[in-house]
Amino acid sequence: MAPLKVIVVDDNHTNRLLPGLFLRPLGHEVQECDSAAQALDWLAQNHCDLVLLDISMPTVSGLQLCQQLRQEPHLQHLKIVAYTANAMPADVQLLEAAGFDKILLKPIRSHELLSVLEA
Amino acid sequence: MSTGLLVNLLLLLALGVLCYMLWVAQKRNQWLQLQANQAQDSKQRLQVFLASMSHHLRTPLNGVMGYAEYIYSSTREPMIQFTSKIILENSLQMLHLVNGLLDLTKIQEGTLALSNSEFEIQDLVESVRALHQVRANELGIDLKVVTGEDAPVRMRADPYRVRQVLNNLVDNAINYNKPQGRVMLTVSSSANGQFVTFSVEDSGHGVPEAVQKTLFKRLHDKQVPFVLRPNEGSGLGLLLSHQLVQLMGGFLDFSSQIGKGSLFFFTLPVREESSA
Repeated sequence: MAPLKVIVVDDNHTNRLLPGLFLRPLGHEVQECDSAAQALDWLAQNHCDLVLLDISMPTVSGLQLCQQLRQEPHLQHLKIVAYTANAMPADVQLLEAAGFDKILLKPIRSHELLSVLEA
Repeated sequence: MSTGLLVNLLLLLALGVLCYMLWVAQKRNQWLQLQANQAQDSKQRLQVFLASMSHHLRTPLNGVMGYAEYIYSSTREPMIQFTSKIILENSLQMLHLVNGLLDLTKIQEGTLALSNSEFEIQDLVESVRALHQVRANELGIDLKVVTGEDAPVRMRADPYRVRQVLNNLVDNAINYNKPQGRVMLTVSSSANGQFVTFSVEDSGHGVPEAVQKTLFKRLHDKQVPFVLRPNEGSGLGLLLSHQLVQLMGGFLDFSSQIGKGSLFFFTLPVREESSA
């Protein structure tokens, strides 16, 4: 598969670095951001194919960021995946309704992460 | 005292009693409402607490499992592969416990939602076997699937939950078996094809008699102090399986002989039009 440009947005350092460990060896480019603000800055200046977005973040949550990105005309191609530990059915339904393309529940397995890229 | 005055007094008294009764009824209603609100309140608080606990357990588990898998897949050093795999397997067990506790709470609260779709029984049973094959091989256990001739092909239920129950039973059958033992997963039909029975038979140690009576309600058993119990599982898996099967309109039971093995089975309605 063609290499993708992926951005991982998570305030938790450990979990922010994890997807890159699996994606970089496969040729994908990975950018890590620790907040919604940093992600917005980066997205304004760089092309991106896929966002892995943590939900529970201080100041601006992943849910808010997703809704904001969905309104940007030049980001309509962007695939937005929730990368979250909110596993309760009500939370998952809420995320699906909020415009996420996929929900990736923590703890993730590498094959789940890769299947999100392919789909 | 004139009769008229007496009647008036009695009427007044009756009116007073009536007012008092109405007042009591109103207070009682208010009190009941308050109780109901409090119950609703504590249910909501419990749900918020559980959602938060689930989130806070999953976040570090993501680090533990993710990095263990990375280490495992990026080395050829046998000892590092061996140890990282152990971390992975143990954290998976922890994840199952987190999921199980949440499921159990949802069942007890009546908030567990079942999906309902039609699926091929053989596919599901095969995937359960495939999942446990590696572990069975490691322990030298002969794991077999047997499908009865009359077994229904498809059924309508929650496939995720049926798989969860089967996984639990097969997992127990492997873990509580003897070395080089046998585990047989059988699918058969009952009640003229209206029900399907899944059974998991092992050649293990059997369930001790003292445990048999409380196998499906052990979490409530406070009589035996934890440190004095024999080496056994948390009991969560069987308790959960039992309740899940009940919720799906079936029943789960078992028979066991010490030293010879156990047979756990559950029956579920097929609910598929063509086979009814």
